[in-house]
Amino acid sequence: MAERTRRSARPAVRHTWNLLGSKYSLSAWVGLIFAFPSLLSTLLLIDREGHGQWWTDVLFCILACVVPVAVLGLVRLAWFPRKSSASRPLLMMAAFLLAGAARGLAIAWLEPVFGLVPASNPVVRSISEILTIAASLAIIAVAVSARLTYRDALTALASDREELLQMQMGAAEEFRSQRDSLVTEAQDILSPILRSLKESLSSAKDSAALASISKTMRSVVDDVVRPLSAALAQRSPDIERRGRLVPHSNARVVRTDTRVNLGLFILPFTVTAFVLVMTAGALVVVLGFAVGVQAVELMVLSLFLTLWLARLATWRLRLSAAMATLAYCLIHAIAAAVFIAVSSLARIYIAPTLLAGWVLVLVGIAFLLMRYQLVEWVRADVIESQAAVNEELEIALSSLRQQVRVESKRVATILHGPVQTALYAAAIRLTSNEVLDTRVADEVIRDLEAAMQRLGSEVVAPLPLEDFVAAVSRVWGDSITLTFDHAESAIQALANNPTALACVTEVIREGVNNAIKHARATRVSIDVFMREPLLVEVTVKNATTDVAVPANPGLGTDVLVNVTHEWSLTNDGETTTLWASVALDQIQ
Amino acid sequence: MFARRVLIVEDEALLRDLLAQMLTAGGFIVRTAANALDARQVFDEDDLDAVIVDINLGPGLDGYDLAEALRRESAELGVVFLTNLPDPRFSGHGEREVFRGAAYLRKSQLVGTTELVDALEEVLAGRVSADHRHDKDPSRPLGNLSRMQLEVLKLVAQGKSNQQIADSRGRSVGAVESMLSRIFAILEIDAGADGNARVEAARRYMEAAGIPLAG
Repeated sequence: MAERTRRSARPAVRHTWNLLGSKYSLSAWVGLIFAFPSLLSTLLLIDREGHGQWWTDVLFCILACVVPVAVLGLVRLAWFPRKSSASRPLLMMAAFLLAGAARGLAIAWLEPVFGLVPASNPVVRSISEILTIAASLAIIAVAVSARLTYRDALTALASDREELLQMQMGAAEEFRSQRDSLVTEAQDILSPILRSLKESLSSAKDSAALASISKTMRSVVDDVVRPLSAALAQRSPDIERRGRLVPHSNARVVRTDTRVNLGLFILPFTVTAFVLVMTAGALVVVLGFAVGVQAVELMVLSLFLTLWLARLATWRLRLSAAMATLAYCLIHAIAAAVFIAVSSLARIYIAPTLLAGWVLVLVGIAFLLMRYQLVEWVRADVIESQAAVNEELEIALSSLRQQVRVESKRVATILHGPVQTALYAAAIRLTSNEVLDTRVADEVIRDLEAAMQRLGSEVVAPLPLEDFVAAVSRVWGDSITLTFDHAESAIQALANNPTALACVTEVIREGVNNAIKHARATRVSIDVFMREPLLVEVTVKNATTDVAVPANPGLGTDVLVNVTHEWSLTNDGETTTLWASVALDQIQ
Repeated sequence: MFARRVLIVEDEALLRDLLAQMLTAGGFIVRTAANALDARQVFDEDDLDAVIVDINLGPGLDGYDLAEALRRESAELGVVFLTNLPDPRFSGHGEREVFRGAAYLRKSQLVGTTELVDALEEVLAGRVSADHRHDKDPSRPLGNLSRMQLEVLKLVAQGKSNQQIADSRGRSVGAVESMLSRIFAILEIDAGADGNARVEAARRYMEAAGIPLAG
């Protein structure tokens, strides 16, 4: 079985890191990250009074965007050769921050040149831009990485399911063909040997010759049958892999009809913190320090309180994913409107374009945050499904382990059964004769041929469970009083699952043996019930204070390990309980 | 002298009938059964002196269970185990022991009826000689390994790593390595030779025991 991929505890962080480290982050991401603040700047500038023409505003915005892009371009050319796909996350993070600083410096230099402000502080500008870039980068990367993480989970889920299917479909065929090849191989090897023995029998003249043939027959068992059994046992089932079920790359991550509780997704603190980081610098630069700080305080308070109230109000409101996203953005727009109203009441003048830009920032953040949360929410659902699939996988593995054990026993029965017995019987019969009687020789040959024919016949099926328990009770006689409680569904399931039935009988046999021989119990109860849909639970209890736990793990417990999915042996002071769950056959 | 009453429990009809013929000819009154349940039926119906029982009786209870159950109700019952297994430690059912006063004969060592009749006489007399305890024969395959060493060797033959063996037995990996070294030494397998000592040890186990059934 292929080893399953280990998953990082924080896959979103890993994806973000990898995305940032890729050289592609320099092309696909640059436009998005720098276009947004530039658009904001344009909106901010166009309505401002006392500066140059509109084209100087546009030129200013273009330059403000080009400078950081150029910095990133230089980094890419310098440190990422054309064909290299190496990941350099630290370098890229530094490059983005450097680009942000360059943008800040460019703006600080251009603002007075274009007459936008009399003077600009390059340090404040650079810090503000670095923070803006870092926040934009983080939120977009986290949103995108959530999607990729979800895809990872989905792929792993598909992989696990496929593995399960393979085990179910491939193993049955493998076991069947293994048994067939075993029989064929045993026949191929034993037939010439038996032919040779028959010829020897035909030509045997005296007791010495008969003794020699008898000895040869015994040695066939030790020299041929056992080594053959050993050689065949070394062959393990090799399950061929069929195709892999990979989810379609364009499949929708979040189905629009998925219903969610809206309030669960509203995050007052996170959103306020993001908005604070992204806009505080701009507000202080545009409004001046004192007014800017006052505006920031009002923004934090109004935003946090509005979102917190909205969270409470919508906590139980269930909406489809699409409607929830729309409502989520609307609520954030309302939160922005509350800030505008509050700032007006406080007589803080903020240009309408700045306010419009601010609302845009808030709604943009809201949209990405909602998207990220929905993806994470669905991912958690997938992980939950994955846990269920893994449980099924574990049961399937137990079933295979049980199958291997039962098949090994069947192989041993085939090889050590009729042929071996016929050879021993022939040897005993020949040794008992001083001279070869033609009738005895014919009988020996006939027995050997019959044994060879039986080699390919089906092995005897296990006894039905009720018959087995009755046999146990009958054989142990007065030594124990046995009570048997069971669910009909379990008996029915076992009747249709011969491997599981064989394993359940092994568990019962071990439990009863343990109770009688080690714990010296006289009353034993056996319960067999279903644990839907793939397990049968067996409990063997006896009233004794002696816990017959083997002194060394591995002695006696090996049987239970190999014929059960899980098992335990406990004592509560009055009762010793052997409990086991047995996997129903995944392969029919 | 009264004829002794013997029950033969053997799932292979060919050998069961042959032994019955031979013991009948030897003066025993013989009953036969193909499995534990039939054997119990005969035990309840008849006043048996001894039972000859195969260990592997196919589906259902095995010969150990049957012999143990019958001996609990009749302590004087003579028991002769007649089996393909060179050693009860290969039975695939964990710890099994041949109880005191019982004979243990390997089918491959049974040349004629003489040895079987001798074994029967001994178990009926309550004195079993070493000749009829093939499970104690020093020359039996892997006979010089202790029970613990045999268990470890079985796990090797099942393809388990040292770590897995250590985990399953609650020992350290170092202790398992040390035990394996002793096993190789006892089996005279050169651990430093080109051939893989582990593979050779597993081969020896499987030759002696057949397929390494767990347990």
